[in-house]
Amino acid sequence: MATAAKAFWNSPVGPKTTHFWGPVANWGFVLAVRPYMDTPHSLCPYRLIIGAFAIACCGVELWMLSVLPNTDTVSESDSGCLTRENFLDTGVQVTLGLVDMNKPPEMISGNMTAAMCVYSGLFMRFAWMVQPRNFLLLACHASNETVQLYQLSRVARAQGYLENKQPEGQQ
Amino acid sequence: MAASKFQAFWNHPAGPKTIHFWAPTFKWGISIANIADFAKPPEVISYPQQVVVACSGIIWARWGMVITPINWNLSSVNAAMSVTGVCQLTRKIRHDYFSDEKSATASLEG
Repeated sequence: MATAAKAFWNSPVGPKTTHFWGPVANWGFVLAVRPYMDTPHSLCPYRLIIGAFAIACCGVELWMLSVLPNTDTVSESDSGCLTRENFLDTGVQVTLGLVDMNKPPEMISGNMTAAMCVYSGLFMRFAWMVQPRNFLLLACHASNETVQLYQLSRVARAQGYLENKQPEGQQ
Repeated sequence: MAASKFQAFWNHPAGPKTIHFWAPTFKWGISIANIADFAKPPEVISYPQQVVVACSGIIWARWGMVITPINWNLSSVNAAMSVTGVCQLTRKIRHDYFSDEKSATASLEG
């Protein structure tokens, strides 16, 4: 038990490294946005805790940005590794993808959403195949894919494509 | 001559039989979808989404230029993507803040 914990603590992708806190920080940032997309609410403890966690995660993210290598310093064989650009891009995509979840379906662009679904699917495969395997990019595109598929289903439903088969067609 | 060049392209480790080709190539689809959306009214443009498109495009366009070797394919597709994102944002901001008061405030309340 103790040896397993020690192995985790000292792991090259463990809690002493950015490879661990990156994904954690990204998800915290993402959770933080959700409660504030609704109409203003009183200071309930749940939201205060989430808010405090979000601020802590923002701190971690800023620290990570300061320690990650810039892409110029990374060689071609390392091209999939965690760099500032990867990190920023994944954070931006995941966060803003979730921010959009409350929009009314009329405001969702079917073109963009469908393009995003194919795009994230392709980049999940790309992140898997690149050397070294880029799990953060994979997680980013997996979550974007999920969100975009959900948005696509909302658009389809609003336009009547997901109704049960009836004798009279929807449109 | 042409046949062997095509063979070289077809069998390239980052060629059309691999994801390394199709993933950046498909990114053009996002720019094309955005250009198709130029026809849509500004009220339905999403600020967060267009900010993502513009920022992500700029980040990866720069990345393509600083890696070795320079990846013109990736840089160009991302630069185009960010241009379409900025165009959409311009349309939306112009509509929300710089057009006549009545339609601007109505859309902000919506």
